[in-house]
Amino acid sequence: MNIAHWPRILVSKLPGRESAARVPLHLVVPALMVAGAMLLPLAYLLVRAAGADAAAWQQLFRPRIAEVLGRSVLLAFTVTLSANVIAIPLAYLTTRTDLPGRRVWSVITVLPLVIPSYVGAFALIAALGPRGLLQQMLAGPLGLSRLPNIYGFPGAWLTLTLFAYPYVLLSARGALLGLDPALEDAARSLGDSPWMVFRRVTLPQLRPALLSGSLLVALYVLSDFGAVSMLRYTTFTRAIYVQYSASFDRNLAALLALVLVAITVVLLTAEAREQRRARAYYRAAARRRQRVVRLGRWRWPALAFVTLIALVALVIPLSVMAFWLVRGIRAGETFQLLIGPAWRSVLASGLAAGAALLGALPVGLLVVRHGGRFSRLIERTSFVGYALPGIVVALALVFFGANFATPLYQTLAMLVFAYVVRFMPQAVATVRAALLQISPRLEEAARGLGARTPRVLFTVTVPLVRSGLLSGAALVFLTSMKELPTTLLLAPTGYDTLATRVWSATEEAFYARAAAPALLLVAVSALSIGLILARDDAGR
Amino acid sequence: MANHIICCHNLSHRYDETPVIEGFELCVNEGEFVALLGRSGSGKTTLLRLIAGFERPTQGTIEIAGRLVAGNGVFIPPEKRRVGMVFQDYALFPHLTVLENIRYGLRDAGADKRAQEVLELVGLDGLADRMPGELSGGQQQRVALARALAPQPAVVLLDEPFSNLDAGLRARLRVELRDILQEAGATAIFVTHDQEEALSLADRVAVLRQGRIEQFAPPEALYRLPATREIAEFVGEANFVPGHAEGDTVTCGIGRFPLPLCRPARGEVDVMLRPEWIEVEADPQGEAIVLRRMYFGHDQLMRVELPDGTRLEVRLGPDDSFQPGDRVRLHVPGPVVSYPRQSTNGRRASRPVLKAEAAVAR
Repeated sequence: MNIAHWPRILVSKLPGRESAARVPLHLVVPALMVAGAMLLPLAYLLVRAAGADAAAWQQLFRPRIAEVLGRSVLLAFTVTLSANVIAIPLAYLTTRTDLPGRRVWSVITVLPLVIPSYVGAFALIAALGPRGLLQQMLAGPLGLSRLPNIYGFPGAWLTLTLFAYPYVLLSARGALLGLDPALEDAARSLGDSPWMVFRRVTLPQLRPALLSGSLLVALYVLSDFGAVSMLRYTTFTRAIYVQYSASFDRNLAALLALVLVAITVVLLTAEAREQRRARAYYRAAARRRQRVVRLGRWRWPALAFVTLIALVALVIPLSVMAFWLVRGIRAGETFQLLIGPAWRSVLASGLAAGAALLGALPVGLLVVRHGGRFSRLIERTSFVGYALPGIVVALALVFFGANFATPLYQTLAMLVFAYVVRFMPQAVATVRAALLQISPRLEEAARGLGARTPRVLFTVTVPLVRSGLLSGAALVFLTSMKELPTTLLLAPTGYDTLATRVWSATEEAFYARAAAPALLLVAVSALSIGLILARDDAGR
Repeated sequence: MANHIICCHNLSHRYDETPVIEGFELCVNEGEFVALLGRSGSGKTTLLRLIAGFERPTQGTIEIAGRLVAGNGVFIPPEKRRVGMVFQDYALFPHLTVLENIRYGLRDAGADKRAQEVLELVGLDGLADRMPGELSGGQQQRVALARALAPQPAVVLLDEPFSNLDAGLRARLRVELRDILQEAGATAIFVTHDQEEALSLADRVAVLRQGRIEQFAPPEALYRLPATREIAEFVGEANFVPGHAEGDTVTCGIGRFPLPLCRPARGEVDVMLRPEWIEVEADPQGEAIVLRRMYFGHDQLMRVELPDGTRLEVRLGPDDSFQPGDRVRLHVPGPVVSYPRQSTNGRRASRPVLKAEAAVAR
């Protein structure tokens, strides 16, 4: 699908009268508003691209650009794959087996999500790079002065895998907890060993959740900027950033950004096609007791696996940061400067989470209950904002703010709006996955008992998807806290957040100064994740 | 003596320190259709899950087709037990077609052929490529049955198979299910709380209460000679008339009747009379008075009052026509069953050992 067809699709998929009549107004109106807001940055891109001259278009087809494209796609693909490889066993182990300390592991294995990719990259470099911790430790006794190069693809792949796999994990966990245990019992009564049950029955049913999670990971990788920059692996986002900041002609950057959007659309189309088949409503075994699988002697390999992941994705990065923190304290850094940025981070992210949830619910309901081309279009549109790199969204809104909405320019509202545009799809994905597990019969039963739509929504639908909604809100909160490029460009003057603190300190190689806000970010985020999982478990 | 397909000895199961099943004894013959009848909480579903292998008994043994599957240090997991199970909500795999569902438990070369055979057996020819979500409740149930039957299990277990269907469908499907199982030559155990279902379909019915079998007998024996008062009331309408028993006869307000040889009694008792056992004749000097009458077309139900105030429900054919206020005489051909009077003795705790019943059951 190439860019030229995009307008045609918008037009050709307008609903006929029949389908419009079936879709309720109370869902369509908010969904349309949401979709409209999401499209704003894209509209800017199109405007800019339209202003690009032939020379700019020529540059688009240089071999170097193809190289960059190749790198982005390769990274996205491999990271998604490895994220699934890590997340699926983790999800299964923490929800279905008698793994010792399962509750604790449930929390720990999701925690890497709290570490921003650029912080993780920094930790990796500070640990394994030249002049890093490891090299300092080995240089003395073993006389090593060169370590395997962690820059480039290996470092980027490792960093992004370790900090993005929780997206798949959360999705998979939610799905596993909601599966009908009778299906697995049935498979066992028909002769399947527990492993075969997993392969033939559980895994196929996990597909919608895995696809949702994988989509989030792929988009995350495509739009990551901080980590790939620090690890010197030039993907599209870096190329775009260079164009934007280095030249007066922003039109080429707009073109590049549109290519990235095109890739996103391809991904979304492929995923949507798969989800269509999965829209068969899986039976609402709402909170039925799940059977626990006994690990026996597999307990030890399982524990080893979980420990390894926790070590590499959590303990080591945190230790590195702690190390630098201690160094900083010894050198006399103070921390009361942190209170302001901390509060500002929480405020902006909290507002964004609430707004995203309000937007995600109608879109999710529209897609799951009234699936059709119109609904899917709305859903895809809302994902556009997520696909756009933070930089592009930020600059689009800067343009919009500076030229069309001056009162809102450089206000908190604009920043929150940018967060929502970028991160609402996460809420949509988890809301959608949660809604898929509820039989529409429940809502129909409520209607049949006389409840009108708002009451059905609040007393039946929302409570049942509550853990999905909370996951969605927490994800948005979390990613907003971590968000860097958008904040750099859109925050009101002097409104620095924890993320911008980390960035500016790192830029100036003040690792000690970066360590404290980084750890604070991690701590705050950890709380929200713990909250979701506590509810997940309570519902068991 | 017929082959025992399932044998449970002294089976007990506890859930979180609460006993669910205690001292359970059950033996099912090959080709038999056994119903486990009981209210919710009586342990019937737990028993099914124990036989299937989804739970481990805390005590006792289970044998399937002569092989020990649970107890005495042995535990064979469900996938190795050759037990077919039909779940209450059918549990059809939503991501597979009907034929793929049925073929799921088959592994040999002839799988497709066998699956097609079973599909035809349950009368769903032509629906092989549909998805479970597209089928009606009755069709889903049949697919679930076909799936369980395809691997030719030693026994088929059905967990409240009709509870998800509406009443009209239920009546029709009951018979169909029975026919399918008979044609397949299957041994089946099904769990239900509906006494009509149990009586009309099963070769033998086990009545469960609080984790114990109170009676295990063919439907006729259950109906005519219920072991306890509760069973009597559970499996049908029952009138109770106070009386006095002396060994093989009992005297009560209506007359004097023989007791069955296997159920002698002494002392103050309550005599149990089924409504259809009572015969009514018009008699101006009769001591019983008709209170009301309900006409159903194929029969009628009358309420009659005895001089001592006891009220009885009587079931008559469509041709009698009594009016409220008529005096009538009652007669019971006998034999009848009696139970100790509740105010004096309390309930009978254990199932009486009945030689005649035992002979019939074997």
